[in-house]
Amino acid sequence: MADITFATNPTDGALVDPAQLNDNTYKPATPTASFAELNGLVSKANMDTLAWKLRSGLIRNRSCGGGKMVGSTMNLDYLSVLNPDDGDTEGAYIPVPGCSLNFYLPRDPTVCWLTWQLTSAVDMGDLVNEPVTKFRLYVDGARVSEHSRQQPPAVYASGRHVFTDRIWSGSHMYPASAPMTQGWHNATIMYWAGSYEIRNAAEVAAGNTDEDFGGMCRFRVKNMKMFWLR
Amino acid sequence: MAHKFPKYKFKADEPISCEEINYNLRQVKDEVSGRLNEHNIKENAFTDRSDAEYDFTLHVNNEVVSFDPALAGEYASGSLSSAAIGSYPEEYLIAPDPYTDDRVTLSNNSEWQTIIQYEKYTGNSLLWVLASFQQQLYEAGVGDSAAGQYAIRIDGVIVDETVTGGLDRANDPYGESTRCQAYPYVLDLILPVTPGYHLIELVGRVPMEGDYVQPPGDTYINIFNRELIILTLDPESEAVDGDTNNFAPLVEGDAITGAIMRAPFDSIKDDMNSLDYPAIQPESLTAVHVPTTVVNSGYLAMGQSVTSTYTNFYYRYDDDTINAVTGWQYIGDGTTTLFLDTITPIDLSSVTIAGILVGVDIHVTHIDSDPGANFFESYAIIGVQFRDEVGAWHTLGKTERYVNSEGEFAVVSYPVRKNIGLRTFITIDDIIPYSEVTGLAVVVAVINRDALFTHPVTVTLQQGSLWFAAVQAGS
Repeated sequence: MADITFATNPTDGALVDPAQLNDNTYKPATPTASFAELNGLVSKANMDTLAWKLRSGLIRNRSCGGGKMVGSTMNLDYLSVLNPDDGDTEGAYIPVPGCSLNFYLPRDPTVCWLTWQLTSAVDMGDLVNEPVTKFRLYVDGARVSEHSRQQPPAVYASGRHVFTDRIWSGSHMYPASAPMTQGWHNATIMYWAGSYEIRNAAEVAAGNTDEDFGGMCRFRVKNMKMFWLR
Repeated sequence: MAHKFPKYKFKADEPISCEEINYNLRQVKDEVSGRLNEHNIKENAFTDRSDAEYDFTLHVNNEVVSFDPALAGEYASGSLSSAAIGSYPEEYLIAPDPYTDDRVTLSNNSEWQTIIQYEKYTGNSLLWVLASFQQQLYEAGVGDSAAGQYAIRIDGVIVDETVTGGLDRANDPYGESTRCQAYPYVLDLILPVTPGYHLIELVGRVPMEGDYVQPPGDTYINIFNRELIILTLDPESEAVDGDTNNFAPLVEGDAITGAIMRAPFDSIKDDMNSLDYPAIQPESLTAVHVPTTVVNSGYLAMGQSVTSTYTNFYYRYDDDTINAVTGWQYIGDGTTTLFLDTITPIDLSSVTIAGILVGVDIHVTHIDSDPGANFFESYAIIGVQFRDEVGAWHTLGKTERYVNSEGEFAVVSYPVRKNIGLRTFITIDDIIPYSEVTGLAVVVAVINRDALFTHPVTVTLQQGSLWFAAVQAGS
């Protein structure tokens, strides 16, 4: 709104008009001519912005941004044999607890980030059938396809190789040009592990690639976070 | 405060009471004397960031250490000459303390030690802490000897949910460290804090081996490029003094002239037409009233289902060259390149823009070398380039991160399938003598450090993404 300018004023030598006082005090039909502007119409025009600027102490905490984090530190073990053989099967991917987050956005943010961290290890796989374990980000039930990662096979001629553990610290952003919207959302890392037999290089060389035995997938510390700015 | 309606309404042919006028006016005066809040102030009352202090919503602080790890066999800058390390680049990269430089070498005693830290004063704030750093592990033999484990520590307490690897040693003796030799870790944390000083640290350690013995003395972990970024939302909880402007009421019995009658109205009107910040109740404005602190933002992603390969050799640290043989190449999948050249110029010399928060995630699926090469010495390196105000592109050395290939020596190289993650905060100090960022891009190169520029290396990339957000913030 604009600065207040009274339509009329009491003048010397004239009777005070009650309607004049009433209008100057409160006349919502013309709020810039009365103190009615106070009722939700005060704006920058009313501020002495040459003398001061918006400052942190005036802003309500968490109203111009926010965030949330969940995590889990316990090891989680999954048997791959319990997964569908085909990673493209509907429902083949299941959420990783501790790497999944429900959150509420109180308004449309300008930008919103999702970040996550997942340490994983497997004791299965070979160079023929790699990769054996796959991870994907799903937001509000839909796959975000650029955020897919894979676990390398872990079993070689020398046995299970410790250099095949992996950590995935990923991030996804909703920029101002494609923002997230107000309301409830969920984000989760889901995984699928193929039921490939644990075998060594000699077995692979012998052509033993049957998919009849599962290995184990282990998730260590994991977390999921969300941060948004107005 | 709530909306105000005058209690008294005056009618013609009735006496006007000064006290009734005063009552009506006091309601308004009280309101503009420190009680204005979200009920009084219009939606989008402030739409321009210039109406706000730089730090009205956000602080960003970053602590960064960057230097050349001599991946390409020579030191691009600084005190070390290429002759000093030219014959032994491998030793330079892995040795614990051969030269005086800014590396952190983790000791083998399994104690947490600080890699980089920052002390921050906050209000009732929400922290987003991001740590991005390059690890290089050396060990004499490939076995079960431990590697690095990292975490974010706040005020002396490890935040368990940020720890890399596992915490359950009893049931997982090899699980504390994530066994990667060359690996760029990213850790982040979101945490509400109380007012006061907070010590924020990135810490690392070398856990005991699987059989509870200390790793051999020749197991070294060096940390090279590293950056700690702290976003503090709602940085201050300051008290705001109330307005002490006096209100001069009408007095019964006084002779009331038109001027005397106008005075209290005009006084309050003038207050309302030139409100100072004490007129507004502390912590009463919300997102609907104020501008965004985000100046510019963008996101690009590539390679959902296709891969791309690169064979261009890494030339040297912090080098700008784009070249298909020796130099960087832009990363893309044939459809999308992680190359943002249509950014509205971001003037980092402006005191109103604190910097640009940038994130990169690249999926490295394979690093293949020729059969005669030492697989472990094959590296894929990524970095971030920015475009200046005249259109030239420059690499930011502090953003260089790399992974290596692993396998059984001279037998087979294993699939890599590592994520190269990077988080950085670009400030004016990073781009001087330039002032504007008009583009951002992700670049890649490869090298085999066993035989520089002779053993071909091919890196295969799949999924990748680049995002940025320039913000107005204090520090």
